[in-house]
This record gives sequence, structure tokens and C-alpha cells, in this order.
Amino acid sequence: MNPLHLLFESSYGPLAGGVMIGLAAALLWLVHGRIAGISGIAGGLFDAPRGDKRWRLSFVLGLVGGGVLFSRLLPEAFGAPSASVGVVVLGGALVGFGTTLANGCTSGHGVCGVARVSKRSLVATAAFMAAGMLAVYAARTLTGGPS
Amino acid sequence: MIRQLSFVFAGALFAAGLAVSGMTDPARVLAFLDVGGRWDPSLALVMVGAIGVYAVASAFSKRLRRPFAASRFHPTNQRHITPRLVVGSLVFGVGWGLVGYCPGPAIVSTATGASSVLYFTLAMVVTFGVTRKLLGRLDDGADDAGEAVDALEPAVTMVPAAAPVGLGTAAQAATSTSTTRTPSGASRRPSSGQ
Repeated sequence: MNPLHLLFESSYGPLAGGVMIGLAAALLWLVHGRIAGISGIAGGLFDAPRGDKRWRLSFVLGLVGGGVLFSRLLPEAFGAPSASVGVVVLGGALVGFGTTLANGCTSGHGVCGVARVSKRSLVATAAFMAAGMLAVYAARTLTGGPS
Repeated sequence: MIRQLSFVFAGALFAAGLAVSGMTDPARVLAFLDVGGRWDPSLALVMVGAIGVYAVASAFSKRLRRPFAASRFHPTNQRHITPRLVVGSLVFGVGWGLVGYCPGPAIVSTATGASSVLYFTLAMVVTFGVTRKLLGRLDDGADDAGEAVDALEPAVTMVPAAAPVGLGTAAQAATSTSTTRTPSGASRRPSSGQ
């Protein structure tokens, strides 16, 4: 059996994946001096100065390229949302608006900011975790079944 | 070229980590957030692994004058806990909890070509652009400050455009190296490779 499948099935998958995410973020910071905040990197494609766009595009291409590779190597890791199209689009818009307003998401605040014990990031992370938990609870209560 | 490839590699490694950790499966993410139901706490270990590694890297970087392949670090210039930070994070959390994707896994999962992922990511990316445009208009002319200080932060600073760069860098230098640099010295350095 492919060792990647074994790792994914084992209880070490999340920790190993987390370490890989940490290494990628460390690479961006130590080599390039950039914070690995996905919402900021991707959002900057819209309004960053011209010379500041190329690395963002390269990184996002890497994300998608990694997705192409791993959706073949480890297809069981990829699921699709179970929500209806309307909810999916609403969710995407809320994530886009909220992370732009907050200047960061799970990666920029949740990983990079929390790791350097930034007060802003600790507050942001507590807020989006709490709101996410409440949204799941509300969705399950309203629909009357497991979400 | 090698520089761009290293960004591609960092992106791909980040994507691999998201896949191996299970973050690219919305059902699993929703189970992690479902503390009142069938809670699956295993994804907390993703944070533990990522934060553990990054904390070491972040601490090590305080000994460096500059990154290995760039003229300076681009830290955030934001210091204060603002309503905007809290409201934005709450709104983000609701969207995350409705569908199960945060920005990284959404972008990575577009590779599967599943239509629902494409809808989510398209809505998210369009909203990035629209929100940045609106915020830029609200902040009225502070764009240069935002660009120069930190790419992660859209223009929000109230201080004159040129000041935050020198001050921010000087403050950082002061905390890390204490005596070697003065504020004026820091601001005289070339701002970056941009």
C-alpha cells in the first residue's frame, strides 16, 4: 500500500500535514520574508504593486499544482461540500469578505500569527473558531439533522 | 526563475500539508467544528504541527538581519485589536462553518474540478477583489502605505505614507539587534526589491 495512504489513514496524518504546512510557511518567511497568509497572498493579486504580484501568482500556482498532484496521489483526502449551491456561494463570499476585513485567515492568523503570539491573531483565531462552531451548531439545529 | 520556483514549491508543500492533514475534506472540517455533536478533534493537531514548526522559524528569524533571499522581512504593521478585525473574523468563521472550506483548502481543491468547489472559490476570490476595492476607497488614498508596509494588509494605516516603513523596520531592528541600527540608518536602506 502507498505509504501516503497509510499516513493519511493513521492518526499521525493531521500532525504530519501540520508540520508540512509549518515548513512551507517557514520557507516563505525565512527565505523570502513573506507571511504565509493565503487570503492575503491571493487577495494581493488584485491590488498589490506590479512587481509584487509575480511571487503571489507563483505561490498560488504551487497551491493548485500541489492540489492536482495530491488529488491523484491521495484522492480520498479531497471531499466536496455537502451544502447546496446557494449556501456554497454565500459561504465563499463570507469567507472572502471576512478574511479581507480581518487581514487574515486560518493560515495568516491561525498559524503564523498564533505562532508568534500576536494578540491580534489570537483574538482573530478565537473569533473565527467560535463563529465556525456556532455556524455548524446553528446549521445542524435548523436542519434538524446531522450536518 | 529559481526564486519563482521556490514560491511554487512552497505553495505545493503547503497544499500537500493541507491534503495529508485532512483539511481538504469539508466534512472532516465541519466535524472538527461540531463541538456540540459528533466532534472530531483530530484536526487540532494540524494547528499544533504547523504552529510548532513556525514558532521555531519565527524565533530563529529574529537573529537574521534579512531573509535568505530577500532584502527585508515584510511583517504586518497592524498592532491594534480593531472592530474590523473581530467582525471580519466572525464573518469568516460563519462562512467556514457553513461550507467547511477556508481559503487555502478551497484554492487547493479547485484542482479536483468539482463544481461546488469552483463556485465556492470563485465567490471567495471575487469577494477578495471587491472588498479590497471598497476598503481602498474607504481608506481614501492610504494605498501607498498599505502597499509599502505589508502586502498582507490592505491600506488601513492613518500615518503618512513614507513613515511606517522606516518606523516599522526600525522597531523590529531595535527589538532584535538592540544597538547596531538607528532609525535613520534603517530608513536609509533601500526599501525592498519591489
